[in-house]
Amino acid sequence: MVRYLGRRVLYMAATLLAISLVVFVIINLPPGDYVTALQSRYAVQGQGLNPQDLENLRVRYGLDGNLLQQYWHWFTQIVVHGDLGMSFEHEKPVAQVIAPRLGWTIAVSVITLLVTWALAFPIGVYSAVKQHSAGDYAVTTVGFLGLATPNFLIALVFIYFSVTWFGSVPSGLCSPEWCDAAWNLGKLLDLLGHLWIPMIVIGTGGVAGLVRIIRNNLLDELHRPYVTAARARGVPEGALLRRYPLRVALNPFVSTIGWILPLLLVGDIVVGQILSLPTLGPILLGSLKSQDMYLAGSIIMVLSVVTVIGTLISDLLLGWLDPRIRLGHQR
Amino acid sequence: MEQPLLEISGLHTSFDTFDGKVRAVDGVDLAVHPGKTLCVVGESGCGKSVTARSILRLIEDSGSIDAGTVTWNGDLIDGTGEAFDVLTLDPGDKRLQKLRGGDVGMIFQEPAASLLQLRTVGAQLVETLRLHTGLDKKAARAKAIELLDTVGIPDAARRVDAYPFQLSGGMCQRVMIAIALCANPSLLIADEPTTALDVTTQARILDLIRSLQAEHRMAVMFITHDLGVVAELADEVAVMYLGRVVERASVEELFADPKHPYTKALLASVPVLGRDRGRDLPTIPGAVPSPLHRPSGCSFHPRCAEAIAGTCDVEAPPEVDFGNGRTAECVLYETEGVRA
Repeated sequence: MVRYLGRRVLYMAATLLAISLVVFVIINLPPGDYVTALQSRYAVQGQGLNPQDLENLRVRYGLDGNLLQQYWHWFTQIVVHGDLGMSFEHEKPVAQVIAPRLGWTIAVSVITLLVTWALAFPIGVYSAVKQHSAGDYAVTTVGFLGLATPNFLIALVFIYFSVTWFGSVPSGLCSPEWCDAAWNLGKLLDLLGHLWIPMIVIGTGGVAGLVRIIRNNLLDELHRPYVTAARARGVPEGALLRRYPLRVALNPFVSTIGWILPLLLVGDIVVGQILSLPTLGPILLGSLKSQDMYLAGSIIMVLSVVTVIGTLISDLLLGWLDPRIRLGHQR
Repeated sequence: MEQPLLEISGLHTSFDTFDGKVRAVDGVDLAVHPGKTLCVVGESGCGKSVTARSILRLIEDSGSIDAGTVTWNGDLIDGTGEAFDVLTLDPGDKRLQKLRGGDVGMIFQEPAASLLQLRTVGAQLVETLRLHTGLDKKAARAKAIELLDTVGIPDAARRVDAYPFQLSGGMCQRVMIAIALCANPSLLIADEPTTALDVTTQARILDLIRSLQAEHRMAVMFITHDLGVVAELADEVAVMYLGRVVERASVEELFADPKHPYTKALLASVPVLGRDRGRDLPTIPGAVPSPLHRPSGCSFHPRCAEAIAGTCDVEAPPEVDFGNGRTAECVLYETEGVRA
């Protein structure tokens, strides 16, 4: 188990290194940099910037070297000093921009993940055990719709209905009167009152996908020889389902943390913008538009770290659940 | 003849498929006597496995048992209860629970696939033990180790915590046998238990089944396509073709004097060391027809060397009873025996 864990951690570090390189290159791929974005903003306001000013700005922001030098600078700053760099746009250290929003992003994602699981698991099991029943068809149809509808569309539909029915747009995660208040029961209830909207919007696709996974896996497992064999030795049906096929169908379910977490985080980018959530999504979008490269790069890196840690957790759970993984097929 | 332990009569089991209803078992009558071995032999797809599974009602959702009775006389014989028809029991009936794994043990074709890979063999054995014997955890574990030892697993105290994928196919089948034996069943149903194993392992498993049978005085219903196995194990033999039993005989009679043309052809196609050197092995011409398109009359007539045109392809052959449980379903013997 220790070797398994060590190997996983090593892969994790390599993955992050690769991601950092790709992220940095992609952020720098569009022509221009933060200074050109600044220049065009000034131009709109009728103020020109002369080449000398531009050059000075580039030196000030450390944008004068080539791409590799910039990457090396960024990389060593993060690894050696834990410094994510300055955000040009916010004129603050990136860490200060990200920190207050990171908590919300992770909170929204993790809560959505838990709710997604809690909903998808029983629905998927029901749908497999009662295959071809009316309930199964209903679940499958709704699942298809949920999977096919983009998150932002669901968000827009929500906004439309809340404006026509309640006359207001549900935005943010707290009502104005509670936002700056200290944590208490009232604020918590207020938060829950707001949280269900992004949860439904972000989680629908995930629930639909998971239901399909659980259903298909369980359908596969329900007809395996070991099920017949267990029935033949008198294991009662309920215990049979729990102890045999469900144990096996749990594996792909656990490994979903790996792919559903990035899905939730990305979903948050678009939906966070529409519902104006205090999460990382909206500022990531802003930083990409203004080519605020350290901020954009850092946000993507932070999200990658979260995802990779999620994958590690799911790998560990898998190793715990499945002796074949843990023992590596040794005889 | 003494009271049979298990009596199957008029069993019809069919499967709904995309192409139509497949009648996999089409009127099977069989009897298993206490302490005796019945071998059911036939080609792939003749319905022998489905017959075995129908006994404990293990047919999957797409299939259904349409008619017939499966009478269990075990409780009557040992004086603990009445005889009952397994097929009419309520799915939640205690007697069905007791029958499955309690009075009847069953082992299968693919031993490794018949065990859940994610749980130790001990856990699966203890589970069954506790279901049928009411032992507590500790006692069940001790009994499990003892059982694994009985079925010839070396170092049983350690192997009890092994996962199935850490054991060979032969070892897995021994575990399956240990599970089947855990409540001292009066009948063991073995559904081609040696097909997936190599030849030396096969022989060991057969030896094991034979010695356990003698020790526990249990009846065995052995499903196989291997006539060598039949010769070695059987007391009585039922030959199946396309969902029907075409011949029933004691093992000596079957090999010495096969009646049905299909049985004769089967025996002729067994290679004999020395005799068959340098010549082609006789085979039965043609292939087993699909049960969807059953030939008219006798279903074996298109492949039969002795078929009588105008008779065999028109009417279903009579079942001829030669006495002493010997039967054959063929017009050739119509005058010899009694029409059943």
